[in-house]
Amino acid sequence: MASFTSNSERSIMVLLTAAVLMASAMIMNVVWPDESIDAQKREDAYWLHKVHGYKAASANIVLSGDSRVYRGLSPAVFEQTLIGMKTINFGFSSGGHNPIIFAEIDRLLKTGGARAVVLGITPWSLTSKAQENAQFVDYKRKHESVDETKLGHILRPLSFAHVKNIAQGKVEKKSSSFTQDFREDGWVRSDDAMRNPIAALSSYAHLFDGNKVDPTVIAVILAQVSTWHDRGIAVIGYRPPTSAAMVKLENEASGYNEALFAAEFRKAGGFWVDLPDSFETYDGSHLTPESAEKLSKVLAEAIEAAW
Amino acid sequence: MSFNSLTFAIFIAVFAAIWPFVKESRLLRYLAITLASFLFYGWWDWRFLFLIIMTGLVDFFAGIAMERAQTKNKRRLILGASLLSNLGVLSIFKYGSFFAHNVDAILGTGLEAAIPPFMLILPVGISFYTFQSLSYTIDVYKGKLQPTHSLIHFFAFLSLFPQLVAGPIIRATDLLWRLEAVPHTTEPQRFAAIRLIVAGYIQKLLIADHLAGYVDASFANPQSSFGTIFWWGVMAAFAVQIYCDFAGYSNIARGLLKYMGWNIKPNFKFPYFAIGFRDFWNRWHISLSHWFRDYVYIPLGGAKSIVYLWITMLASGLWHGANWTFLAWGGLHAAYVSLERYTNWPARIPALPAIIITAAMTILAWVFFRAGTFADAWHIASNMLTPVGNNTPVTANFPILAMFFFISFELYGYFRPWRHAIKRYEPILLGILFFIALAFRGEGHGFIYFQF
Repeated sequence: MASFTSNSERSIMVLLTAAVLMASAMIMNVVWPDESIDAQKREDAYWLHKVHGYKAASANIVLSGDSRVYRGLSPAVFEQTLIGMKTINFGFSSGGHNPIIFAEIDRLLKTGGARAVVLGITPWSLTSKAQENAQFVDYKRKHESVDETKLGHILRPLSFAHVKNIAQGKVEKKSSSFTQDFREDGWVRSDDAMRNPIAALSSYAHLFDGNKVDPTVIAVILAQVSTWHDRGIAVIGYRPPTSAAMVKLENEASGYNEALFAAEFRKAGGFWVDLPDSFETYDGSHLTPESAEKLSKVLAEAIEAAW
Repeated sequence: MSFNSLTFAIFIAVFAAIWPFVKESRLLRYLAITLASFLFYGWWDWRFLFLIIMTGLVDFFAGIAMERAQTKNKRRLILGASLLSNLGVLSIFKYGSFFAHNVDAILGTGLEAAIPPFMLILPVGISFYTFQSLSYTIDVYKGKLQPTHSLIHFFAFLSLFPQLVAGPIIRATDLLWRLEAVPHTTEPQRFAAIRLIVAGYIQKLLIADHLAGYVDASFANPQSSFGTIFWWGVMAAFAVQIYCDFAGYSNIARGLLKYMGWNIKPNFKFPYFAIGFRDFWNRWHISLSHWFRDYVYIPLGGAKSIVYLWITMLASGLWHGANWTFLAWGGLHAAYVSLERYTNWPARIPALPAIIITAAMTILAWVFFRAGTFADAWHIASNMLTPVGNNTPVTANFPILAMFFFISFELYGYFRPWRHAIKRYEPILLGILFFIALAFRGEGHGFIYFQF
């Protein structure tokens, strides 16, 4: 052990130098936090919790779909309407409906009692591209980061730009009209003070090029609806409300026939909910928080009726 | 646990504190290595520890049985059982889904849907430890190695944690006997070990992880991105990413082993300075290419026929992944080596153009390695090989700083221009570089080669 602590132990000198500098970096992180990285960490923590954090067999109701589901449904409202019914929002960005997600839903659902699955059916979620579950798969692989995220902001990486700003005394709070609050129950309460009903349209214009609604995907969903129905699980389907311009664009570009899908969904044993045209979006795609809560109440009542 | 995780930092600190006290005793040394390695591996998924233990037990007893066997036929039979067990487990977990998918595509049998879900998970590093274990039984069969009679000794060899999940693949003939002796290190050796570890973290955290975001974003929907310059840029970034990711892991593994008292041969020797492809394969993932050379290529017949070269290269492609694109990558390299064998082109031109041509052809081959489908690979390769203007605007900034670090790092390593001048300040400089790698690391990514 003598050589471990002797003055000539250069390896220790290397580690000590790095440790002292790391301690300085940690202090820097606390005193001058980098807000862009903080926001990213919060988002990471939210997704990691969604993928790894929920206990198996813990939910009565699981809400599944893409960003219009995770931004558009509040489990808290479901739980207020259906007292004692634990609800999880299991929506993912660009998420699809397929056996991998169905297996996760089955894992989360309680093994008995009152249970329901709510499927937000957007045209995108019925394409084969959506079935890649890119975001879900990505976070599934990041298992080890869960521990690190819990250690918070002290150990986060620095960016050269942020250090340069600190050196120049330019650390200032960035302001943005868009806000999102990542909730533990899976809802992302999102809003934009600068509401723009056509903001999202351009990004959807080419989303369905070579990627139309896939009949195979529909067949898989209907088979699963039937399976859940046979197991006594209520399955609620709905088209997440969005702007009229978006509905028109998606219907024309994707080849989605909602009436036909709804009829098949009902035939498979599911409950299809036709929604009134009274919801508001902040970007032409996603619901405002008020509309999200209103929709959550409508769907919770639909579950009650289905039970 | 991964080298770039906080869990590993705690693990290695505890291990480094215990190691000096246990390494003197043979039993304690083996126990410490084996238990630490099982903890290290089981952190991912403890269930897959049973796979290592099961295949390890088969090979341990196969070694003893071969030693006791009276006839060559019996020894051959035992070796066959060992190969069947190792390659069987590898086939089931790594190639089962791929095989079933292709059978379904041809016969429509629904075989893939019948695979139990746990078999769809690829155990981390299975190809590495399987090959390491195979080297043991094959070398015992050939009479090159005396089998060990100590189970704990065998598992210390098989599961040695620094190189367990992503190599370098260390053969039993190189490692087993070395574990027997008490490992002693001198101060210069420990400093050299730290130097390797820091170099590995710089490669992984500062270079590969900063390139990963750019490469991943470009590959998210490759068919919608166009342009010769765009795709050469992306593929050059990927070439650097995969090299720094893998060589970074190898350097950290070698550094840890060196600190513990064992010197392991380099797994990479500046591969993008290779002059031709025979040279490239003596510089890239050396432990694997030499494994294939000694256990596949030469036993098949070696240089007697070009067919053996193709079989070896295709097998190497499949080793990397269960996908036709990996097979194509292996095939492309087989074609490169075949062409070189018939024309000897690297010897006919000056070194610098030969290096550039080799690097460009290597980058082109990486397309098949990285692309998820043949359609994506064709799209990218055709963009690279025919002039396509109107390049897709890059969504993320090209990671110039990471590429600059790579080029500086590689040129310094290759030429070492200030090696003597900076010697006095090296510990402080290394400490600063280690800090930069840790503090300015890219977003956390797993090591690419874990999936192999």
